[in-house]
Amino acid sequence: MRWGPRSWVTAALCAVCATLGAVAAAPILLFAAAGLGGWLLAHQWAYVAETTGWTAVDVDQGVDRPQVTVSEPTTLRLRGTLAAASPVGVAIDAAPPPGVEVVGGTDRLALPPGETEAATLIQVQTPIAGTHTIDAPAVTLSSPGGFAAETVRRGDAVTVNVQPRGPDRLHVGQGGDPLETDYGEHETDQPGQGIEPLEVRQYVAGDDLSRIDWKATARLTVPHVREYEVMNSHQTALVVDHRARMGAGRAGATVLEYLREAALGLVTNAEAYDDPLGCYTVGDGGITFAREPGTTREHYQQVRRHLSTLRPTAPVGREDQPASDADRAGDARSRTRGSTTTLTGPARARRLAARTAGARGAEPTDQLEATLHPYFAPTERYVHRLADRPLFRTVQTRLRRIQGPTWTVIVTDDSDPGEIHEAAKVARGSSGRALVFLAPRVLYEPTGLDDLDRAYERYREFERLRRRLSGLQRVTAFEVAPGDRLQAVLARRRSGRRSRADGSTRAATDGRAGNATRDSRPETAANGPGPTGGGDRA
Amino acid sequence: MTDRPHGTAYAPPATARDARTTVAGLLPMAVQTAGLSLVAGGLGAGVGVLLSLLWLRVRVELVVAVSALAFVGVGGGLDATLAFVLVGLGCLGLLAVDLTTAWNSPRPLVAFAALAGPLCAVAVAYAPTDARYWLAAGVLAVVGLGSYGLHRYQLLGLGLLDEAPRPEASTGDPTNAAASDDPTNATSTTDGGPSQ
Repeated sequence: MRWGPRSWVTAALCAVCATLGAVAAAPILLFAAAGLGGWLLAHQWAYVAETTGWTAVDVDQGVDRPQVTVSEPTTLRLRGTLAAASPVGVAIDAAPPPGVEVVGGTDRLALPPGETEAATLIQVQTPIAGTHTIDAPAVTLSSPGGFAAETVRRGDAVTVNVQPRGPDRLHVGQGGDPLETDYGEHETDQPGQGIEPLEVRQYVAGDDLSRIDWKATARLTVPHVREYEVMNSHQTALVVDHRARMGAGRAGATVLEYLREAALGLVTNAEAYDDPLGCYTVGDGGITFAREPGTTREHYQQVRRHLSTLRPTAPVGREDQPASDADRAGDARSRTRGSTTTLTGPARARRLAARTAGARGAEPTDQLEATLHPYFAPTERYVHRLADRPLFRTVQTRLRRIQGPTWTVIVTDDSDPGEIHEAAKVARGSSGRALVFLAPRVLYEPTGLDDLDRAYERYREFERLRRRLSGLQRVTAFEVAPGDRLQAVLARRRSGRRSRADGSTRAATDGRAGNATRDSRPETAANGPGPTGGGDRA
Repeated sequence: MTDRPHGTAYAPPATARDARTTVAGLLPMAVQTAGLSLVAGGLGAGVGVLLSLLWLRVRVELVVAVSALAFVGVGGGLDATLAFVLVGLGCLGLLAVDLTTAWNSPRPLVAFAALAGPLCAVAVAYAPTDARYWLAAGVLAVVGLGSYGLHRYQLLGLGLLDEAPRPEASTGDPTNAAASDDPTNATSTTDGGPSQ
C-alpha cells in the first residue's frame, strides 16, 4: 500500500493538531488529532479489506499480430473485467518495454469505481528488431479519495517478434512462373554404380552377373539387370555482383537484398549436398572476395557471413557517388524530419562526407576532417582490381583456375546485357554449366511500376534477355524479383490480353478475325525471342 | 511509451462531493456551529457559518483541523463542556459522513468508531495533564504503526511478499535486459513501508 496524497495531508494535519494541542494544552486539538488519526486508519483499513485477496479482476492482454516488421504497428488488446462493482478504482497499465512505442490509443485502461468492464486497443510499434516481451499489465487499485494505492501484475505477458525489414515474397523462376524444385538436383541421368535405382534393362553380354535382377528376370522370362544412377557432387562457383547499381530499390528491398537471398539459398543448398562451393563477389573496382571451392563447415559459414554483410560498392573513381534509391529515400526521410543525421549505410556516409569536403579533394585538410576521414574512407578491399567489366573479367580469370567441370552461378541484374551474355558463355566453359540469376531492375525501382505499360515493356525486354541466355547451351537463366511487383506487372499483361481478346471478338465480327487473333496472342515469355532468338548455340 | 510512470493511482476529482454527502454533512456542521456559538455567541456563529462555507470548498480533514483551531481561537476549552462536545461531535460527524459515502458501506464507520473512539476518549482524559505530550506522540505512533501493519497485511493478502525481485537481463535478449532496467516496470513489491 502506497500512501496517496490525502494520507500525507491528513497525517500532517494530525501531527500539527497533536503538536499544537500538546504545546498549548488545548484538548480540542488533541481530540481532533485523535479523530483524524482514527479516520485515516479507518480509510486505510477499508481499502485493505477491499483489496486483500483480490482475485475479482480479470485482465486479458493480447496482440493481433505477434510477428511484425520493424516500425510496423500492431494492436495490443487490453481488457479488464471485475466480478462485481467496487468502490476501489482500478487502472490497468500496459507495460511496453523501452523501445516499444505507443503510437495510437493510450496505454492505460481505467475502471472508475462502479464500473465492471473496460477494454482498449493500443497501437504499438518498435524500430528495434528482436523479441520484445510486453509484461503482464500492471493493475493499480486505488482507494476512493486517493488515500492509498497498490499495484499488482495480472494477466499474461505477450511477446512480439519484430523482424528486420528485408525482401519478402522472393520470386525465383522463369517467365513469371516460380521455380518448383531446388536448383542443384544431383541426378545425372547416367547409369552406373550408385544406390538410387534408375531402370531395369535387358541383360547384354559383358554385364556383371551380380547385377541381374532375378525378380524382373523371372517376371519377364529373359535376363534383366537393374541399373543404378550415379550420384555426384557439383562443384559450384558462385559469382555475386554487388556493384553500386545493386543498391537500387526501396530501403530493405534493394536488388542486392533479393539477390542476396537467392545466393544464400544457393549456399544452403550446396552445403546440404556437400557440393564444393567457391564464392566470388564483384564490386565496381574488381573482385572483393574470393574463395576457391571448399566443403568444410567453416568454409560455408564464411561464405554465408560474407554474403550476409554484402553492400553495394562505390563506383570507381567517383567520390560523389550516386546514391541508391534506398539512400535517396533516407535523404527524403531526413529532410522530412528536418534532420541530417540519418545515415543508412557507408555509401551514403561517404557521399555526405564527400559533400562536406566539397572540392578540396579526397585528402583531409584540417584536424576534424583528418579524424573523421578513416570512418568515411571507402572500406572496400579489392583482392583483384579489374578496370573494365569486372563481372565478365572475374568469370574469365577466376574460373579458369578451377579444375574439373563446374557449375557457375552468376547472380546479377539486367543492367548490362552484353556483359552478362559474355560472362555466361565463358562461365559454362567446355564441360560445365552456368546458372544465371537475374534481377529485372524495373521491378525494383521505386517508380518502376508507376506506368504499368512501360513497366511491362521493360519486363519483356528483360524476359528476352533471360530467354536469350537460356538459349545458350548449358546455360539456364532465372529471374529474381519481388513476387508482388512481378504479379502486378503480369496482371497488367493479363488485363491487356483480355482487352485485346475483346477487341479480337469485335474484329472477328467485322471479318478481320485472322489479324485480330494474331494480335491477341499472349505476350508470354514464350512469345519472346525464344531459344533461337539470338541465342548462341556454340 | 508515455511519460507517465506506471502505477500511479486512479485519482478522482479532489473535492468532488455529491449532493447526498452535502446534505448529510450539513447536520454536523450545524452542530459544530451551535457549539461555537455557545462559546462566543454571534462571533462563534459567524465562524461556524464561515466554516460551513469552507467545508463546501475544501476537503473535510482540513475543515476539521480548522474547526478545532477556531474553537481554541474563540476561547473554547474543556470548561465549556457542552460546546466542546458539540464541536467535537461535529468534527467526528463530518469525518463519519465522508467515510460512509466514500465506501458506500457502514463497515468503515464501525472501524472508525473502534479506532477514533478510544483515542478521542484518552485525548480528552489526559489533555489537561502533563501526559499530553505522550498522548500526542502516542496518537502519531498509533497512526504510523497501524498504517504500516495494514500495509504488510495487504502485501501478504495480495501475495506480493513472496515475489522475488525481477531478474535483470534474464534471457540475454537486449530488449528484455533493457526492460528490466526500466524503473517503471518495478511493482511496489518492496516491503519498506508506506511510500509515495
